[in-house]
Amino acid sequence: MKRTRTLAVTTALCLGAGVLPIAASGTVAGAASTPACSPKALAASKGPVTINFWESMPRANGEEMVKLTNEFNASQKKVHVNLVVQTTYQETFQKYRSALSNGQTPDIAMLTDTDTQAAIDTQSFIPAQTCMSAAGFKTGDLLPRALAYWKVNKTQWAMPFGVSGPVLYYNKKAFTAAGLDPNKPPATLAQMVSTAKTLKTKTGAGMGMVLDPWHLLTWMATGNQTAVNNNNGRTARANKATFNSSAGLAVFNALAQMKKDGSVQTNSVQGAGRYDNLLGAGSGKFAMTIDTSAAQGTIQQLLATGQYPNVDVGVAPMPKVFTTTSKGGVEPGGNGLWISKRSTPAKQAAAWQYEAFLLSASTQAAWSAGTGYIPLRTSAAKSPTIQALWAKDPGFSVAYTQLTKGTQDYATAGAVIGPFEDVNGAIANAEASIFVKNVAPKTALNAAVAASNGIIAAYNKRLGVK
Amino acid sequence: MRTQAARRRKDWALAYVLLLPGLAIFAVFTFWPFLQNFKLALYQNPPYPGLPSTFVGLSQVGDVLSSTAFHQSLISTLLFVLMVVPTGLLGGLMLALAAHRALKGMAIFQVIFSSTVVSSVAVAAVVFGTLMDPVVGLLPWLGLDPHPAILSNPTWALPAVAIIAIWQFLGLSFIIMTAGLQSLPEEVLEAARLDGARAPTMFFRVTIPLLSPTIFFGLVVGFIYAFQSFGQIDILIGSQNAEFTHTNVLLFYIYRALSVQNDPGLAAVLSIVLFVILLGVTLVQFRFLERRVHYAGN
Repeated sequence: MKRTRTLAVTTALCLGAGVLPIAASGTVAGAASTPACSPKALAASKGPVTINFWESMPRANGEEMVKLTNEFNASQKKVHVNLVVQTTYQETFQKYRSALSNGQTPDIAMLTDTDTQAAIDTQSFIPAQTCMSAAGFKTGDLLPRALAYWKVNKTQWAMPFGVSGPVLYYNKKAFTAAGLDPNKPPATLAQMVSTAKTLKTKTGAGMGMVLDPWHLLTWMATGNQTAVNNNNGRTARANKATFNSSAGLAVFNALAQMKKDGSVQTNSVQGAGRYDNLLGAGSGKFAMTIDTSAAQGTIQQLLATGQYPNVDVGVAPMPKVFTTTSKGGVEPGGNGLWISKRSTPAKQAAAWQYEAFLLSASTQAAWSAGTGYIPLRTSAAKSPTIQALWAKDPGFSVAYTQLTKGTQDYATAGAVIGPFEDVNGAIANAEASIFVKNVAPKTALNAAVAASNGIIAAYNKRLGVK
Repeated sequence: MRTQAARRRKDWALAYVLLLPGLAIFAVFTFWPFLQNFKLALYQNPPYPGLPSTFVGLSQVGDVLSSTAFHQSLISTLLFVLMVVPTGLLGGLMLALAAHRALKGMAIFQVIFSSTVVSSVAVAAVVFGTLMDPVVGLLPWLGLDPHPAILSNPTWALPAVAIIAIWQFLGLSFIIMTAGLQSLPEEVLEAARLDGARAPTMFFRVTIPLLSPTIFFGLVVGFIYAFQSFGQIDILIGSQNAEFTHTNVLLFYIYRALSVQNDPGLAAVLSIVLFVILLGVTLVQFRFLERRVHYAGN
């Protein structure tokens, strides 16, 4: 029995000490004498220039990515793109941060929208602007709203690629059963609240709602209000949250009203129940929900199996926070492509050549048709491929149309925040407190702003800025 | 006498030589990082590698220890341990008693009861996550519709992940208890039986005291197991949700500090706290509980 005892002590000590080892950080120098992203450097290099591209597109979208990249590699001999598949956006950025200390950074990284300020703060990327100027690239008919999201301090930092927006999905059959016009989905937040109530009373199926802070931020944009100060962090670094304005309060009030009506059920944006709002729409539990437009492909696939005979899905623009005529518009979401500062000018130029291919009208049309992402060029949207798709299924045009409508300013460009994930956590926490603890909307909103201010201040302090 | 002493010294020398490879590995991968960790705790790090760190001394330790996030994390950890350890040990003991009979086919049950120890955390989490789902899970079938869903509910998320941890710990607890039951001295049990002790008396007055070293061992292992639970939370809750603040147990907080906030300083302070707690708990357990434990050979 003595042995058992010693074993217990040893186990305790070893396991206890085992949690301690922590990675250390280091620096890698990357100096270049030729100007960054120089096309001349690419032209001067002998043989094909191979670049690594970290992307995180799952399943069908990943296959489309491979197809397009093969097409690019086959189309010319100067540049060879090596796709390195990462799992999720979150893991890609985590891996990128570790790569910053061991030096194995990619030449291009696909990062999610909320990582924009963080990516700039790593000081390890060159602005896409540099490459655009060097190559004489014209932004011409690229959607201004999509470009604006990745523009900070008037500099185009990354190029948008897989862009989507939140849209309203609803079951037309449930609308008919409730005596509502299936061709007139709610266009404002107030209409959404009353429609959910009618649906719940008449059919028993209410609204499924994923508590995604992105939705709150998009509603802020539709009300033409910023979420953080300094013009959403776009003219100077943000140091205060501002989303407790009238638009934010309207959203929180709507949530509280729906909770009171018993017309809404929520799920979290991460973890086991992430897709409950969509799955519940399939099973008839919900008649309406808001989710990313990028989910349309999967939804259509599922509906095509015939498993859900009671669902006829309708897609409508994100309801506006105030009135349909008020100033504002939706902000874009999705991913941007970032070019490494540590790569050689030749590789940077090669990376740009590839990005320019991805943003060309024909690639954008193929990409959008294959994935459901928004075509980023007006000319791509007008192409026969896209027009045929939209004629067959008008739902696919909704996200594009809503992104081209409304005012174009800092509010609709969306916010950039360094510690975005933590701020999102604070928002989700406040939203959930309405449902779980019956906290008053205004109290919950102010708590979220206070928590966000603390998070932003702590981040800025670590970065050594104000 | 002198030759014996010399031989003894030689034995010791050999022992250290043989231990050297093991010690070297421990030194490089455990002790060195362990010491480095204390250094890290004194520096405030930028959110990204490659940017300079600043020496802030103990102020960072004070900041972390006085933060609400840390207090919340401590409370969650404590609640989690309290939910997992006693239930897991008791459940394991019950199962061990049930399976500790010379019946035909009992081996099958022993395998089943101990199987949770080899199941992966990820698989268990996904299975339980599906069962608890209000849309595609077992609950609608049972006519239950909790809102918000169990795993999205800040109040219920922690007990829900604790249930998964308990289920997983049952297997280990069962194995420990079974081993303990099998090693009980038969003559003592028989003597008690001959003296006319009834089943409850036998259990509380004879079996439990004889089993106390095993229970004690299980307690220590259970504490460490519970303190280091992580997978269920990472898979089922994530870190961007409301319920996360209530399931942010110490180990998860450390992981998050490193991988999401990229703050080695914060992670280092938290790691030291976890180390001190585990060391403290272990010492307390040995100091006080050991006195009440009956060791058969002593």
